[in-house]
Amino acid sequence: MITLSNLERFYTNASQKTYVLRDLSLKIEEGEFVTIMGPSGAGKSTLLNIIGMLDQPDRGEYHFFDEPVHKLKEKKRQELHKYYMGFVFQAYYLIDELTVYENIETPLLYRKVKRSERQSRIADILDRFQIVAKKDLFPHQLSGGQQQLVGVARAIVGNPKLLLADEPTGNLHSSQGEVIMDLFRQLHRDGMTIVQVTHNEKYAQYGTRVVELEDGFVRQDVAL
Amino acid sequence: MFRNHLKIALRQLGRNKLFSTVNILGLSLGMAVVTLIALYLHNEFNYDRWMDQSELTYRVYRDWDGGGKVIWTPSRLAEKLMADYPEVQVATGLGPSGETLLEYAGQKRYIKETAAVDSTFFRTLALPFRYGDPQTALDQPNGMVISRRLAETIFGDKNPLGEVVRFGGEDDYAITGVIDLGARHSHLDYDLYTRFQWYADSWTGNNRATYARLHPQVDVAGLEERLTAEMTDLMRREFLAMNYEPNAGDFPKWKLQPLDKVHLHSADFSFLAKAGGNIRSIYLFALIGLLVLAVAIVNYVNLATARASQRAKEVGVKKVTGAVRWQLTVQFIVESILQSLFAAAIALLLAELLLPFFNAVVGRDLDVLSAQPAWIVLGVLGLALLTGLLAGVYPAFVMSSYRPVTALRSGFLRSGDKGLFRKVLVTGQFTITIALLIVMGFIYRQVNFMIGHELGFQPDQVMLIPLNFNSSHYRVERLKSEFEQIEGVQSLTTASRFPGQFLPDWGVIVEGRAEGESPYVIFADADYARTLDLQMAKGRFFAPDIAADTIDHWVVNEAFVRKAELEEPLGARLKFSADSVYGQIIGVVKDFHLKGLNSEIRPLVMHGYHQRWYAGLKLSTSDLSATIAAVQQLWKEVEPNHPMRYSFLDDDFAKQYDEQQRLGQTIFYATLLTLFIALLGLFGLTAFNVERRTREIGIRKVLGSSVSGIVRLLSRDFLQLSGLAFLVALPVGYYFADRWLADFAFRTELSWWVFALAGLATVLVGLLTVGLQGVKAALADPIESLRSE
Repeated sequence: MITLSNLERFYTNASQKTYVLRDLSLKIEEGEFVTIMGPSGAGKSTLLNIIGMLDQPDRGEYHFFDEPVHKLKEKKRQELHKYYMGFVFQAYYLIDELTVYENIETPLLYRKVKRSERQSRIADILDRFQIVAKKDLFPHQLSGGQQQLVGVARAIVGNPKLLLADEPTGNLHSSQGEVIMDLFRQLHRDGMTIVQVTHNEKYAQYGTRVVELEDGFVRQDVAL
Repeated sequence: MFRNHLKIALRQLGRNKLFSTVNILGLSLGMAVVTLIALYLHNEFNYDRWMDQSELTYRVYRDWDGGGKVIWTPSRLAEKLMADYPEVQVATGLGPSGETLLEYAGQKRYIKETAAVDSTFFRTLALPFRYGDPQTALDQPNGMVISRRLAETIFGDKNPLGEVVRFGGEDDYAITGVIDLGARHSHLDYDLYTRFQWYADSWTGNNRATYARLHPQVDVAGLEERLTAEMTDLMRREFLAMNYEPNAGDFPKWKLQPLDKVHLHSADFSFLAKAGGNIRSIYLFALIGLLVLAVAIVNYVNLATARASQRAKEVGVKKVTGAVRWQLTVQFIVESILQSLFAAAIALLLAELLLPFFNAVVGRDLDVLSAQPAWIVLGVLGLALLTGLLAGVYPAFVMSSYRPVTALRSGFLRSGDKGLFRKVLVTGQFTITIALLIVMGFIYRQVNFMIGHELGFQPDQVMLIPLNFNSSHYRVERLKSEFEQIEGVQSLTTASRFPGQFLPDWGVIVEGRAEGESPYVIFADADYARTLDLQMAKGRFFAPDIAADTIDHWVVNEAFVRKAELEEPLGARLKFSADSVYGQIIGVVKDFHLKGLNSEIRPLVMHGYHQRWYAGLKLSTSDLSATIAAVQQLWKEVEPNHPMRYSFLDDDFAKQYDEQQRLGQTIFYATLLTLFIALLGLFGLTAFNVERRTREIGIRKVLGSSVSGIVRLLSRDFLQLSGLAFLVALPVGYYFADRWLADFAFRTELSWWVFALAGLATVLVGLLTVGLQGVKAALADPIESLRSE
């Protein structure tokens, strides 16, 4: 599904190059649940953003299925991103002015999904995540765990092939975190490919494979 | 999707009440001003244009190559045009006949706006009739056409056709037509029209305006040339018959002014019946409207870009969930348009509320809604869309450009941009404000200067009584000693004109000179100088007991002596071009202001000829009303059928500055509004800065900063910007003030302190706006603000 070969990502600062990723190669198959780990500044988030097509590598190749992403135009990349990716963030990033229902609806609006279908998909997901009662509340009326549930719901409501999660449990305490991770496990069992970044060894165990980064290299790649 | 945009926009509005208020209030003020000004402009541009065949209708004028333009033409020009020029469909003459007494059912009222016209008048100019037939209304010499306004005052709601009224105290007329302009405007807005009672059979005397309607596709320039040639010929013959050898300067070009240009493009005509429009004030108003709206739009742009970073998360999230840039651009523009739509609703309300005020300033009678509601609502809607677009497009462009990865990085919210663009805009706003203040300062100074200036005569407590008949002055003179015995009356004079009034210029010839002069002429009796306290430079004024003084003696002013280059004025001899006998100059009066201080003191000759339109009484009294009552009582013997009217010379003279005062007022309100809107924006920006820097302020306080230190911290930016604005505004203000003052023959100097005051005042109120919020922020408990982090 994802083939990264010899990726480089660097910043130029006062004529000095600071590498975030160097010569990184990685293959991820459909149906995997990959956890990326590593110390701060190892390049985890950058890697995730590149996979999610929010960021581009400075060098190297990225194939998503058969598409050479590194060669695609911005517009085409945005299309791929829109239809294949779902994103979950550490800080949830819900839109403050929209209710739970409307937040979940947002990606469907951008995908031009018809109104009736939007309604049934959202109803379905609210039900699955057991947050039907919260659908008319605004984000600030929810606990962190509930906000992240909404975040996950929003990420998958468009049926993406790939779910990308950047420290999804980073802002939650453990019981809430486990709820989210259980949800991820369930999604994975239903066939979703997941790539998550985390610092938490325990949550890494929910996945099928752990990739450890250090200074922009893959230090270890272990299947569980 | 659109509903989603609207939802976010509305909730944003609700969540940020302060900023929404600043934006909407500013925009609505700006749009209210633009609405009013658009209404005014629409009104001005549609004067006369609506009239049937207005595009074929022209007003004749005489053009003295560079020496001015005059609308007065000979009595019989209209008749001639119809007889000798096949291009002319129909033509007519019009002459204002001044304030005249009208009697009906025992009630007497003076009608100010009256005109005498030819019988063809309403066939040439298609003024709409409510009652009567415009084709035939003036076929009978005693027919009278009145305005609906006047008809309702006198006759109420009934149809007044056939009612008989007494006009001018002597003659009876039958009402044969009632004009109803409705909401339309025309420069021909007289209350009363009658037929001309007399014709001057002369081609050199000009006493009425002439209008002509041409056939379609007439070569106007060719017509003008032929008319000029023929008129020159007729005039030359007449001059020669008077034993006067004319020169090229005595012959003007005869031209046609399109009817729809009369209202706005007649400011350079020497004297006009009724127009009062001016294309220059149109430009001025349009400029003011744009400035005020621009300042309001700048507020929006500033606040929106300043707060853009707060929307960064939303932009990031939306892009991650699949939004592309243009969708976000649209969203933000929808937001700004929504605000401007709210503002538009308030603007309509504001416009309606401010209208009486605005009407007083522009001297019009405009109506927001009743005129053409559909047009107004559509116009305001269009304005709202345009304003929203203008205000929203830049912030939308900036915000939608955020890259999701950067926008979602945690530091982004606090950093924001450097705000250079915002600083430029704020500087621009305050430059406009200060420059307006400077210009306004000089307009006020000039008006005050003109009002307080030594005029060379004493206008105070000089009571003017217009005479209804020239012959009345004989009766006034008979009763002179009785008038002067009234407690408080010092002296009495009768004269054709007083300073500040319309002064005719007549052709005058100095004995032995080939070239004629055309000075102002005043006919007056011996007490004119005493009543006005005129000073003699040489010789003496007319004396009551020297008979020749009222027959052929002259008094001239110094300007005349200079212009005619008289080395020894006393004893030099003058005559009117049309007269045959010369008379000598017996005195030179020191120059006094015949007109407002916008014009030079022009040459003047005075003569004792019996043409008098006014009596003037110098009063010296503490009980004005008793003196006036006594004069009124005695006046019944002068004109028993006419109630006495009066005014005071100083008021009349000051009326000449009405236009300047009105302009001063206009700029005053414009400045006030601009300043207010700019301050509103400054207030919003400061509020935002304080909010953004709450933590910093808290830390500084904990570290020991004083309140004043924090206020200084927050005001530093504004001080720099307003200082810069002041520097830019100096030359701008100087340029406009100087150009405006150049129109005045006597003007106040461009004192530096007006500039300084304008800058200082603006900076001070700005500092106050910033400082008050600074103090509030500085007094807040730092622990409170740090805890929230």
